[in-house]
Amino acid sequence: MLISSTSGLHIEEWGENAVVYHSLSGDTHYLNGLAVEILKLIREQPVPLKTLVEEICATFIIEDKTEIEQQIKQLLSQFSILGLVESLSCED
Amino acid sequence: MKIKDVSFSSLARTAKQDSGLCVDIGPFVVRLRTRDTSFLRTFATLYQDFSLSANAFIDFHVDINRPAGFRRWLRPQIIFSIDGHVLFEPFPASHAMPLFEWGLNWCIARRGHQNLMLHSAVVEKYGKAVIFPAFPGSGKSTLSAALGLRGWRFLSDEFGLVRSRDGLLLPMPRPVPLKNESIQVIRDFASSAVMGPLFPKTRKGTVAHLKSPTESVEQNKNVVKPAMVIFPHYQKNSEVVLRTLPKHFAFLKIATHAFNYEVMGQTGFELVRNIVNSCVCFNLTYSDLDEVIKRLDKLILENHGC
Repeated sequence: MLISSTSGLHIEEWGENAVVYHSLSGDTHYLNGLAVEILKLIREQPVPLKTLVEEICATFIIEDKTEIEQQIKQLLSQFSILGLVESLSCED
Repeated sequence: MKIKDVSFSSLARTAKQDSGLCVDIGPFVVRLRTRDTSFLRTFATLYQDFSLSANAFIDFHVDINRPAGFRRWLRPQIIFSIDGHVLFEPFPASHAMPLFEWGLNWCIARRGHQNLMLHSAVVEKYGKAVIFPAFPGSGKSTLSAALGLRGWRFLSDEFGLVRSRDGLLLPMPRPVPLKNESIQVIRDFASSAVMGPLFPKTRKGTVAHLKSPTESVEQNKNVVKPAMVIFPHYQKNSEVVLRTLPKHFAFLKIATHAFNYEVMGQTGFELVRNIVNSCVCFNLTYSDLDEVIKRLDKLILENHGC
């Protein structure tokens, strides 16, 4: 599955915290460190979920990929509801 | 020409004419027309340092007049209209001044979208502006009024007007509507304070308007850069407690206190972001005005070189 952010995301970071302004919806959201890292990774170009998980594990030095993959999927689901991300296609 | 330079009879005559009194309140020009001499006398006292603006572009056309008919004599009322439209229920005639102030606030909040409008007081010292965003009842009007009476420049007790093109703050030093206990607090704080009459039984209790310092009104065209954002909270018997606020919290709080953050879209986001990035941000709890002013004097001095 390729994950991409929708256009019009403006991210401002302060340490491990950030806010994102989404110009398509006009909404502003608070993001924690994991959430902002995911959005930054998929903002430039669509990324497969597997790559996303690997990148996040490398960034935060996480060994247990199973647990973090669940967290990432949950966050992506919330992002999707907010209109911040979209799934472009399915692999397999 | 300032309002205080014009005789009252001349003001009253002009206010009755179609051209009305065009008053420059800083970022806006208000054309006021009224036949209510009692209201006009209070207005002329509280706005005495403001300039009359001839042939200017008018932002708000305001009429303050009594309705026709039996209401002229039986429990007389006063009506606020903007561009000829009556938007609010009439007030008792004796409450014309609070009606004018609240009506004008409403007009600015609804129409002043060329600026980001923070619900906040603003003061300045050493060229550094302090923004006090707060919900009603937090004491921002009293605190900003007290700072104005202690030599700080008073920019507003209600509107932090952030200019879109450069993020600078626009002064609008209109009179401060003090409420209930705050009236006596300011009287005790500064015996020289010039106040209008008491207006009991308004929606917000008893109200009296404090005239803004002359020097502040004279500088109502001097924009200033925001340097601090302080969220004030009056708490009885509290010591002065000043706590640094993380930037992301400050962002969310400032956006919450903006009348038109969502209306302004990306510009609103960028203006709030720039304020947060260029200011130090605090939560402030206080009770004693002398103590808190001492602390703020020290704080602005410490940040003077920034």
